[in-house]
Amino acid sequence: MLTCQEVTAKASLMVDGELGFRERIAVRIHLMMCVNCRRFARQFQALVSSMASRNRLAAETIVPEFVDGVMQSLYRARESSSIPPGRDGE
Amino acid sequence: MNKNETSLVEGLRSGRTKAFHLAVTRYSASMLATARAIAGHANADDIVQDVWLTVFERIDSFEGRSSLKTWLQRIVANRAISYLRSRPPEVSRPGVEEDQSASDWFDASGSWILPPPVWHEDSPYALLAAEDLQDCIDKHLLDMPDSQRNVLVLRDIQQMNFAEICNELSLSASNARVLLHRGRMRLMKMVNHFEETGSC
Repeated sequence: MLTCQEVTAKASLMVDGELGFRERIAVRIHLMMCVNCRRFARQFQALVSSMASRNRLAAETIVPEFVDGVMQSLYRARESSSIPPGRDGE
Repeated sequence: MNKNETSLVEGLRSGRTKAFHLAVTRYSASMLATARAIAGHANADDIVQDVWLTVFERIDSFEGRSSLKTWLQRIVANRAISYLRSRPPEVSRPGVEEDQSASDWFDASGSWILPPPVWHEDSPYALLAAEDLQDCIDKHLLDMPDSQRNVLVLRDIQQMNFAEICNELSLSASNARVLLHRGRMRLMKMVNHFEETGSC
């Protein structure tokens, strides 16, 4: 029977789906019986999931000023490079 | 790559301004998120701008083995990590190397001494919506040892797999897993503290 400390130590393997079959069953049995570890596991999973969602939210955020700044840098780089002006095709 | 991305890459290779504008608009926000998480807000804009200049010059080296987004994110992560490595070594701050095993949560038999605190919200969306908490997470990410932060950012924010992470950071898989768990436990302790005291 796993202890609570052992279950928390396996939390990352649990959320990453990297527990072996026997370990997974042992953790599940412990979680069924232990309200504290269930709470810990739920909160740990929420925290890890929120980190992934951070990037998805950021990806939906438009940053027009930053885009303008990058494009200005690209124009300057293009002017000082050997790329023929006609390459743009516009 | 899907058809849209193939067309975008062709535009980039041809040096079309519209293609660059579309790519910069589409991918910059997530690139900035990665750079900020690794190198901090103050340095992220410069890192991502520098990456775009590299992409402009070297788009021909993109072989299409991964998606364009993954390729860009990898360049950003590498550039941000290189930036960190180029800094002078920091004076170690109190708590930075503290034990993240959470052994102080448990008694000698491995049982909880006190129940874990109940968070006000424990859904990913609610955690994301709590701006003060997210600011606190940003601060703690930057306070983490570089090794922990890099693994955490690449795995949990960038969703890279362990093989890619080990390759990028020259780590063994077991070492990467240990660093990842320590980083996550550090954030768990931080959120617990935030939930109990309301302060970062």
